[in-house]
Amino acid sequence: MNKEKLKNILSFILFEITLKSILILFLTTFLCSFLLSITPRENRITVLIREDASYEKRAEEIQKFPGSYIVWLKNISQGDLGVSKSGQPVMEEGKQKLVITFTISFVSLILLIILSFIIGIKESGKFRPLVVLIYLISTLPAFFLGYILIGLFNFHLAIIPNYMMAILTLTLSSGIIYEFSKLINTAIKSEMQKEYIETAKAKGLKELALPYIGTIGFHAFRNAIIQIFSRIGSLLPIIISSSIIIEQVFGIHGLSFMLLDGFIDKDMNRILLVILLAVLLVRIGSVISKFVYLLLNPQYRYFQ
Amino acid sequence: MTQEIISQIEERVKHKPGQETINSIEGLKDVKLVSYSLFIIWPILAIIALVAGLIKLLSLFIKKSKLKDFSVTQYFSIILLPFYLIRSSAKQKETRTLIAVLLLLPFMLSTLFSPLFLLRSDNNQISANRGLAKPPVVFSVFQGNGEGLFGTNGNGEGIAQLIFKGTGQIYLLTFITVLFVIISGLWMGKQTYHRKTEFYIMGFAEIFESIPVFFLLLVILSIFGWWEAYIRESGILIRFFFNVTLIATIAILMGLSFLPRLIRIISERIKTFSSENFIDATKALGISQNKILWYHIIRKNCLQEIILFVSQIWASIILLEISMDFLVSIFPVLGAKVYSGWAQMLLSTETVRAILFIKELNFQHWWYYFFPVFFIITTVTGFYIYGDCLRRINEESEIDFDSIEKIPYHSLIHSLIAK
Repeated sequence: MNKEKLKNILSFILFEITLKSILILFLTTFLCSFLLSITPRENRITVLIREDASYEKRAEEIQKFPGSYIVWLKNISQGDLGVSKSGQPVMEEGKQKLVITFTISFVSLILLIILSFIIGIKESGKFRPLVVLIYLISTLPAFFLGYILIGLFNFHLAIIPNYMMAILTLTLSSGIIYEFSKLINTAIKSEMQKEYIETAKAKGLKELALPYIGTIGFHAFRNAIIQIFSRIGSLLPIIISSSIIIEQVFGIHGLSFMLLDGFIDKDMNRILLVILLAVLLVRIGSVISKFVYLLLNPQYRYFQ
Repeated sequence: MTQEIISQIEERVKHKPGQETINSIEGLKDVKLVSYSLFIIWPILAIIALVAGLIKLLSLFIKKSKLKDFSVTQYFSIILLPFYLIRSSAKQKETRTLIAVLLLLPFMLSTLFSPLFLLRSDNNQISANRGLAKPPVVFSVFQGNGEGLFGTNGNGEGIAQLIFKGTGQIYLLTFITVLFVIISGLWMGKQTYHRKTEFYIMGFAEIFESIPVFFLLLVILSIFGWWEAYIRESGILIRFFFNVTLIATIAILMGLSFLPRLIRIISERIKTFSSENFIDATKALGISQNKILWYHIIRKNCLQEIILFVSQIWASIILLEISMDFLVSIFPVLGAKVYSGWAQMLLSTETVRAILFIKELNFQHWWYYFFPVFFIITTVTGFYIYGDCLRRINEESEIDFDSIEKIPYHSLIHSLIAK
């Protein structure tokens, strides 16, 4: 490995993985705990739902903003994420729910990427009506599509399991497919117009649109993928945030249930943990996509 | 499964604290306040569009110049995308843009009519209609709550009223988000010209790209919900400011998720153009750096990209708003009862039941979900197709640097040297 490449990767690890992600986590949790601290003490809805004697005490605890946040940070550094309202440690609940949202969102992300690659490459031609149908479906709001799928497949007999349908709706309805497949299409087209393609043609390589090895399409595809990989990191926040709605529709107890229960109970520990986990998920995804981009593109320097 | 969903929604609707206020006089006041703000904004927009158009026409007569692709009117038409759509489609004579305009027409018209329907929320009529699902009648168009137009749902609300109320809210929200994104994106993108500020601003963009903003939005909505229970009985002025701050914060938070992309676009443009010859020429002429950035780079060479960006994000803002509204209407904890977007027209218990029983092919109450879904699909696909057309035009008319060098600045320098 080159010295320069090693330097590049080391600086990436130092800044991207450690410094930046710590900064982002700190900022988001600070913002959330500040916002939670300015809420009024009396809350009619929660009082109606839970008539607890200990409620007012807890409300007072939340009010003391900077102190409570510092204590929370200290506890985190010791590996203790606090206790929920029911008295159980939050981390156990969080772990279970994180696994659920992680599987749903990442499987649907991979499906989405594969589907939009297929659409982007084979947009015109005899598959055109199918592509238009997928575009039309992607304009539907997520919850409506979810209800329709439940009505179609899960009404009389449960043909498809709930998780599968949730993944399907996430891939189709998050509204990314259109944009992303267009991006892939234009990236490959612009690559096919470059001069090295002409030399490849002159050398006698076969001209094919699909990425088979040994053809022009493959060379164009390999260079186009570098452009596309830089955008995959920005898809993650959209997918994870739209997974909230799909979990609600299909009744899958993921992070969203934990968050909304936290709002009802005014449970600061739970809310902060969910936000921490969501940001971590997004962060891991974006770091991986950037690292792949760094490996794929030899021209890229982390510090220019 | 289906029974569970129906029972869940029924319970939530029963316990929805907003329902009581909307059906009382106090709730009506809130709705009216929003409608008044719409009344103020729409005439202003129309007047701006008219004045801009008149100025353009006058300048055409006086200078006898030709219509350029991107001119002063487009400045306003970033804000007034609908008007711009009609104008540009007429100019390009392309079938695709015409299709996009036709698809967007229902949205545009309903935004115009939305204030009328906001003021017409008659609670006696709603309670009289409850339990009676009225099908749409063609000849009684503007009867009562617009129930003649698209019928009523099981709750007794006119579907036309729900749609028009939603479009008004959506237009207001998207308008504010787009304004916020453009103004702050332009300013921040401009700052990337300097090396020192570039580091901070790109860092900011990266941070906001990797935060799931929707989670933050939910936190803020829950806080507004807590405050709303507190503020319900206070005076009109306080509630008005509460509503304004609610819509503004939602808009800003939504905008933050789109802002980094605009900053990237502008900074890339600035980087490519700042090494061009014509920028050196402007520097030699002694034009200030601010003017070079605002006029010669952003105004002359970035506007096309910005309009493209806006047309692309408009659809995704609408989809984001619908998903947010779904959560708001299902969870009373998330508060914000004044806000009623497009998701609410699909979420009455009867409508959900009609959707879930679709397998039986029982289309008895087809108007419950047909018109709302029709509106959503047409507007979103309209914006998609329009953005696609703009992108294609943009790709075709990529700037030819050789032709730029010949035109204004070199001739200016030559004339200066000759003097």
